Amino acid sequence: RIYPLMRVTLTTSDGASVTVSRQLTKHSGFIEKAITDMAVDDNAVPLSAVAVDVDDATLKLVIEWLTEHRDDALPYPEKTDEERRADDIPAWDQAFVQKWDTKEDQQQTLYAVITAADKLDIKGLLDMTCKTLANKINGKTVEEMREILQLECDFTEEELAEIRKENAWCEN
Amino acid sequence: MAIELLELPFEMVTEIVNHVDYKGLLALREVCQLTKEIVDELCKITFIHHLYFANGRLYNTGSICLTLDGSRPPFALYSDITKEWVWTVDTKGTCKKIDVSVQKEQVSNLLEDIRSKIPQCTIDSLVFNSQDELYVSLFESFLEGLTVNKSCLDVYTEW
Repeated sequence: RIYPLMRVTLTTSDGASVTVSRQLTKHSGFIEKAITDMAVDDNAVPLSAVAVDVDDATLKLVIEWLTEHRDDALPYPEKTDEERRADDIPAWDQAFVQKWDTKEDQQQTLYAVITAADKLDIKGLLDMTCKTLANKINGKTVEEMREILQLECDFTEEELAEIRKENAWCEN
Repeated sequence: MAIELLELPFEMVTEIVNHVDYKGLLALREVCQLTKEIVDELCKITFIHHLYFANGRLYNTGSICLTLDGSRPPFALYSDITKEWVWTVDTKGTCKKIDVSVQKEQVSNLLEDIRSKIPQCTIDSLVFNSQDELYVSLFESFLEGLTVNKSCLDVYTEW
């Protein structure tokens, strides 16, 4: 049973401490497992103890997202392949990510949040950030994708011709 | 904005690619070897809703119909034989159904070809509609190692 008023102290990799409500941490499979399995004293879950590089700045963003989504239903629904889509990101989440657009380190921030969501097992946040990245790929040409993803074409001409033939079959 | 996607752990890269749409998946196959491998791995056929096999409409032919699940292109089925395949897509461009009819002497190759591309696959519903001993024998080999939820192997309806 989750006691919403129970507070949990989280320690980040760079030594900061943040105290949050269990109402937020219940969305993190990692923190809930740590509380349950490790019988942590004083409800403290030292994040750095599990080799997760979650710094204070990233954790603050995670907590901001958790605060907005504190009432989301649990468990997070599993998606089938049919249901996977990237165009259904809620408006608040879009604005949340958009805030980083003004920062030079937007990409690093997004990666840091994705990694944190994965390590902390916050499925809703991981899903949303993965969709955000997928949306940066969707609708782009092959050349644009190479540029965005910073990848070089390493196919021979023959290989590329074969793939284009296969893709054409599929597009038709 | 440049995305150094490959800086992320492989599991997360696949999670992101999971959300890329149909056209995006096709384009990613042309980007580089690694993105092609990731997409092809994700697009493996692991579930077939319905598989129907029967003697073909034409004398001495075999017909197979696969109804697929999922929103991804069935890249695994690419091979020369796919040139003969007729497939149906839904409004999102998703492959839903594939039909093929081949000469009796080609059925063995057809089934071997499909089987090699679905090493681990669940077939939800299988209907085998033929009394031909050759087809029966070929299908027994085809189904070996596959999971079939419901099957009807003794139907004599007209194809």
